[in-house]
Parts: sequence; C-alpha cells; structure tokens
Amino acid sequence: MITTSQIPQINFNPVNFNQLLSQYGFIDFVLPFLLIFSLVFMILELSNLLKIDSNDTVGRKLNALFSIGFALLSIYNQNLVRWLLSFIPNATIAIIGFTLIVIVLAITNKKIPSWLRGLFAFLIIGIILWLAINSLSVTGSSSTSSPLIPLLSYTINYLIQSGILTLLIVFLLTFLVLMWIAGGGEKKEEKKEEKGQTPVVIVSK
Amino acid sequence: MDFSSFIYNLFSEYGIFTFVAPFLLVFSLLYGSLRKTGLFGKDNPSKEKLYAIISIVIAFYYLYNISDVIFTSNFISFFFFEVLVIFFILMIIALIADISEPYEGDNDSEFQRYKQSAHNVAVGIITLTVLFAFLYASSVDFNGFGSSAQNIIAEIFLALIYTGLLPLLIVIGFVIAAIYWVYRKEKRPEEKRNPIKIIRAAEEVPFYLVENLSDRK
Repeated sequence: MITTSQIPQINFNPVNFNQLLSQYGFIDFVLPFLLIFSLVFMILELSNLLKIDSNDTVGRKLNALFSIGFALLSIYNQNLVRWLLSFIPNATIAIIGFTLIVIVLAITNKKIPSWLRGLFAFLIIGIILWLAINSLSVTGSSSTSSPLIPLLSYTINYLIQSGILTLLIVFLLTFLVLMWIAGGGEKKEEKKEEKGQTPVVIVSK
Repeated sequence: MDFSSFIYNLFSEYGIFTFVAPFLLVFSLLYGSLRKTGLFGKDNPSKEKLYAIISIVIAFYYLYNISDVIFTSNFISFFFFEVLVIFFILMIIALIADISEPYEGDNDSEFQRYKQSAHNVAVGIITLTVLFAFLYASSVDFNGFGSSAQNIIAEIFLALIYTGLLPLLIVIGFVIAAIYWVYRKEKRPEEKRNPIKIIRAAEEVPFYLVENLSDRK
C-alpha cells in the first residue's frame, strides 16, 4: 500500500498566468493591437470611407492597411496600453453590473419605465466617463507637462486681481435679472389679455 | 528584459512604429481618398498609378519629420481611447434599451423636433473628441509639432491679456448677446417650449444613437 509520503512530489512552480501572458507581450502588444485593429476596421467598413462602393475589394484592403497602421502607431504610445489596462477591467465590471440588473428585470418580466431609462442613460455615461478619467490619471503628469495649465491659472488670476471677474459677474447678474423681469412681465400681460377677452357670440336672426 | 519589451524595442529599432505604421496610415488614407474623389477623371487609364505615386510621395514627405509622426501617434492613441469609451457607453445603453419602454409621446412632432435637436447636440459633443485628442497630443512634451501647437494657444491667450482685448471681447460678447436677445424676442414663436419634453428628449438621445447604429447596413 502506498502512503501519502511515498507519492512522488511534483516540483510545481506556481506561476501567475497573467504574468506569463504579459511576459510574452500578449497584454502589452497583441491584445491592444487586435482591439484597435478590429474597432477601426469595423468603423471604416461601416462608413465606407475609403471604398468606392460596398463591393470594392481594393477599398477593403486599404481599410485593412489603414487599420494596421493605426493600431501599430497607437501602440507606440505606451500610455495607451496603461489606460486600456486600467479602464477595460473596471468598465467590464460596469457592464456586468448592468447585465445583472437586466437579468433581474427579465425574471420579473417587467420593463423599465421610460423616465427611469433616461436616468439609467445618464448614470451609465457618468460612470464610464468617471472610469475613463480615472484611467487617464494612472499615467500621471510628467515633469515637463504642458504650459497650458499654468497659463489658464494665470488668466484666471488676472481676471480676479484686475476686478474684471467681479464686474462680469455683476453684469451677468444684472442681465439675468433684466431678462427675468422683462420676460416675466410680458407673460403676465399675455395671461391678463387672455383672461380679459370675452367670447363674442354672433347670433343670427 | 521580458519578451514584450523585447518586441517593443525590436519594432522601434526596425522602424515599424516610426516608418512602416505611419506610412501605411498616410498612404492608405491618401490613396483611398484620391480613388474615392476621382480627382483625375474616371476615364484616365493611368489614374491608379498616379494616385499611388502621389500618395507614396506625400507619405514619404510626412515621414521626414519624426516629431509629426510622434504627434500623430499621441493624437490617434488618445482618440482611440475616446472611441473606446463611447463604444462602452453605447454597449451598456444597448443592453438597457432592450428591456425598457420608449417615451409614450414619441410620435409627437414637437417631441421629435426636440429629439432631433438633442441628437445634433450629442453629435457635436462627440465630435469634440477630436479636439480633445489634439489638445492631449499638443500637451505632451517633445520638441516638435506639439510644442508649436501649444505655443500658438499660449500666444493667443497672452496677446489677449496684454493688449487688453480680453475684457473688451467679453463686453462686446455681452452687447451682442443683449442685441440678439432683443431681436429674437420680436420673432419669438407663439407656442411655448415644454421643458419636460426637452429633458425627456435629451434622455432619449443615447437610445436614439444606439437605434441609428444598429439599423445601419
């Protein structure tokens, strides 16, 4: 009889599968290339941008060449790979979450009312945009970043210190109040006129 | 060095990123555009060769300036990221569209008008992605097209401040807005705008976009 101590020990080295994939350039190179190529090719095919007609084979090849060039040139910016790595997993969680909502509603056989679906649309846009902005911040700002931000802050400081901003706010408020008074008065007059009118009854003899 | 870095370095070394990819991009774009527009006539027998030569020459001229290639790389990579974000939004909205009811007054002509206007606004906002991508590419530091592009914006801002044109422009803007408001008031339509319908139309726009996309052949 063989006991557990007699079983030959397999020398198993636990390797993380993700590490293995990234080690062979699957995550940094193959996946982004495939994603970019397929999306750009699909959009070009749909829009017929480089095709003379829908059966144009040369146009189709040009679409493919353009997509390959687009994908390769995009991958050259390594920040994109980091953005994708940060954004896609989180956005997929959002997709799973909303799919679960759809499943629950499918069980109850109830459709989302129209006012709620609008709310859902805004919620989806908000969540995805928030995730995208978070992903962009992953790469951080470089030491030699754009001078546009200090320039904008300089412009705002200039507007505040010179008093122009205060003046503008006062102007804006005055303008709004004037608009409100003028607009509101007219409506009231219209309503009064409507109330004052008496129906004319024509009686034929 | 791991394998992915090795591939990246190899591609950089052999000019895949800075030569082959931008060449493919520009050549296919120019050749396809020339074929589609048919600038040299339809009966010209050597037009295809001419298109190819012109596209190759322009593509090589473009490759001569490496900073422009890097600018393009940043430009299109950020643009692709924005497209991906829109793609995800539309994907989830398509999911919700299947299990939700459309607005009851969808056939109402007034609502349709609001929906069309909201759709136009949404398309305008989506078009701004190109501007955002351009701004991103300009803000990335390198000695080339990006720095000159952001210098133009900086110069415009500084010139507006130092010449005192900025407050003047704002005041003129107010005056124009006031005149426009007064002028518009005379031609004001008699029917009132329904704010609830406007909000509902704005809510329906993402679903309308998804419908438009899925109906396309």
